[in-house]
Amino acid sequence: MKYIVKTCLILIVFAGLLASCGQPAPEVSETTSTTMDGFDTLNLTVPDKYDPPITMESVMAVDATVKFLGDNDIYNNVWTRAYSQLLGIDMDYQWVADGSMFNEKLGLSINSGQIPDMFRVTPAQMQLYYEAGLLADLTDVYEQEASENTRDVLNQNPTALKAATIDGKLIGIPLTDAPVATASLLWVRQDWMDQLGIAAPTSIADVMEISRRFTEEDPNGNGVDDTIGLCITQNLWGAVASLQGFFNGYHAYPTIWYEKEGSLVYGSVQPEMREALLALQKMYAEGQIDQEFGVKDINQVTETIAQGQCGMQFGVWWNPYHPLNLSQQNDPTAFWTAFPIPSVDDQVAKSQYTSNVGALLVVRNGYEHPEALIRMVNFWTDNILDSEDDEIRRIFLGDIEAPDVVLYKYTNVQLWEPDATLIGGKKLREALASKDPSGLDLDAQWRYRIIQAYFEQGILEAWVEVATNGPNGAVSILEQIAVDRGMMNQFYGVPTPAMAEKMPTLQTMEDVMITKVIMGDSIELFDQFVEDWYQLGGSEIVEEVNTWAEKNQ
Amino acid sequence: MAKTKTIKINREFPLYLMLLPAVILALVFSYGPMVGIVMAFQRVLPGKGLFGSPWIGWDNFKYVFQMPNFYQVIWNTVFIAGLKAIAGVIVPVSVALMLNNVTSKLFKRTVQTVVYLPHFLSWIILAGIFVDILSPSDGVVNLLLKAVGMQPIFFLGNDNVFPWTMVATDIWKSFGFGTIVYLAALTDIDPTLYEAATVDGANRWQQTWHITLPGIMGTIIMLTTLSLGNILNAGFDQIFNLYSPLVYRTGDIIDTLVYRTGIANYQYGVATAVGLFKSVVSLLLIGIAYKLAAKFADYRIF
Repeated sequence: MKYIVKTCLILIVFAGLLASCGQPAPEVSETTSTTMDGFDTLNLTVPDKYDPPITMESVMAVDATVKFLGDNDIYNNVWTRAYSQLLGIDMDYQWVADGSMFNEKLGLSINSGQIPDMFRVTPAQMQLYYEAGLLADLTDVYEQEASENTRDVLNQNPTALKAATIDGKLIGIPLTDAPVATASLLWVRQDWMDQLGIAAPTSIADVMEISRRFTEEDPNGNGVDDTIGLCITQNLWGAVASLQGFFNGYHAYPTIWYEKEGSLVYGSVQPEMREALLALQKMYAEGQIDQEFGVKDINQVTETIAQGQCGMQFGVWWNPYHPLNLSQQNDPTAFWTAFPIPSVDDQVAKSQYTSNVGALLVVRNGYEHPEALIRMVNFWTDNILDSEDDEIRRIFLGDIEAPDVVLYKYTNVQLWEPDATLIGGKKLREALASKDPSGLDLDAQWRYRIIQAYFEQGILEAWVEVATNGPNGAVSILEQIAVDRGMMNQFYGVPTPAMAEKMPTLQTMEDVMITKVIMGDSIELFDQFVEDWYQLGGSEIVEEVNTWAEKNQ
Repeated sequence: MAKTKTIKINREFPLYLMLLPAVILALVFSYGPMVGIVMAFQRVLPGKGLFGSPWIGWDNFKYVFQMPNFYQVIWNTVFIAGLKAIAGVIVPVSVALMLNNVTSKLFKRTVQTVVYLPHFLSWIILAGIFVDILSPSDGVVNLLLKAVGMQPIFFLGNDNVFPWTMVATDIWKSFGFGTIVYLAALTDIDPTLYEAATVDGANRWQQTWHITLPGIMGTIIMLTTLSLGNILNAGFDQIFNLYSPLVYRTGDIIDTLVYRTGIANYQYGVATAVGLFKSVVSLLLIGIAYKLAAKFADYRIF
């Protein structure tokens, strides 16, 4: 007994030592001198400066991809210094959380009464906190302070400001992005297609055929039966290895609202789902889908992609940057090509996308300077967004010589022009066609050089840029989707009461049903699900959504 | 009289001082948060503080008991925790008895230490390992099953198997600790009993059955009855890291439900109601268990 106690003690002490070794001593960061940033040499449009300076308490999501230059950190970086020196706003971050935990942490923090002056919320959180009377009405300060550029950006997506308005009051500033950027494309391992002599897929039947041959004909050539046709994750939806693109091929639009016979309907309970589910079930039975997808999250699927075992997946336009680029780890010649969603019949398949604003910035009710948020937004839209000044881009967005240090991630206030990806991509493709990069901004010139490097010098890693911004790349497909190959989620309001309360449970039911049917359960589960869905709150939600639609159209 | 009392207090004072940190910790981390129970009876509005939200009586509880899967979740919890409690007695006792009959001290101690080690690993790490070794296509366990001609089993994705997988992996992680407790109990048995039994011609099996087992029966009954209080704790760390929508039917337990509704969907009132319900049931069970332990094993705290 004594001996064991001793052993345990030694183990514990040893573990403690190890842990303490791993932790670096806290470093005292020195305040970087103002001249280092060189704000005074820049040609900036700056709103009125607060004098004396005001303090704005906020919170921040920082994940592992955020890197800092020198001794900068989240509390002291180019953005905090710019806000402080140029706008007279001292940012005071109360806490910083990893992106995946941010919303939960914010929920707990606010519930315990710690409300930051300015923070980022989801539409559901905005509704919740508005009802609790925690959020300031921004209507007046927006009218008084918003600059031309700010108004322009926020009005480009006609639904953005509506999504930020409750009871006729502007409550949040929507963080805009391109709506079609959430649309799924079909990504296929082009090198495998070439090797097996397969033509580009134009119908769902082609997709099935490619999936079968990828599974059976050992396209990675390692002699082991380890390849799968279609990769999906246990989450089913999302930006990578998602199912929504597959369903779109069957004219089914799960998880979104669209118009059918004069009213808004919920895609997941429509009969079009049935055939697609049966097709997936067949693919699973034939081993074309990972037999264990039900327990594999995005990290494990990323691993499958990196190991060169995945041949096809439905995902968004930026997938080549991550995780598809990882395919080259094991096979330097690996590259993926995007295709528009093929259709099951002679009607064109439409990619679903959601223009819903994913996040908004809000101000605490009672904060003395609600207009400070508008000034920060103005600073962004007037100086940073669309800036032709390479020096400004270098200082505030990032240096193309150090592409992994993305400076704008240090601020909550980042709005993107809904169409920037599309317009930028188009300009780039025109420059490539005419071989004249002179009209491009610095960032686009950099992309131009990379694409040229692929075609002229055979730099294989450059496929990533070719697959996105190159000729016939993913961005060119997004353009088609924006014109006439898209199906927009037509509910873009804040979640209705029944939706907020019941949707999470219904969504879980849906995911369980889809997973089980794919794995071989009877398709009757789907019929049962549709029935349950309406009964357990779905009917109520449909009613509320249609009432909303009448008011907003 | 007064003098002896002072002496007694003086003598015991250091002992009370040693107790102080534990009392403070219990007050701060166990009793303090109990104030939050009020949320179970409120429609919790964010930012209003503990007493600022409107009182709604038993509405949160009504909502909970109307949730379509709530009874299933309770059953899952009791089922998994119950199996864990039963296996948590049988396995360590068997191992302790076996080790007790081993003559090589080196072997005995090595085994003790090795089976105790998983106790120190967190479920975050173990979940990653188990997903790998339990994989139906290339996991070690299923490769072995296939080698002997059996069908592979989807341990983490088949909802009929999942609860058993949880029990087995939990026992694997924790039985080393129980084994050590029972081994300690075994050392209390008077060696002369064995000598007498040997003289009477009892073999090893008979000795185990008639001397060893009765000798540790008190400890077994005590630990078993006390574990009754944990019957609604099916192991959040473990299940949260290993479950998926595929196995919600049999794998969703009270704690994971509380996490999903409370933390992830911001319904703090409902989550507190579920938590309070769980605590009340647990308190009753602990009371019963204590009575039972007092009756059968003569184990008393008060």
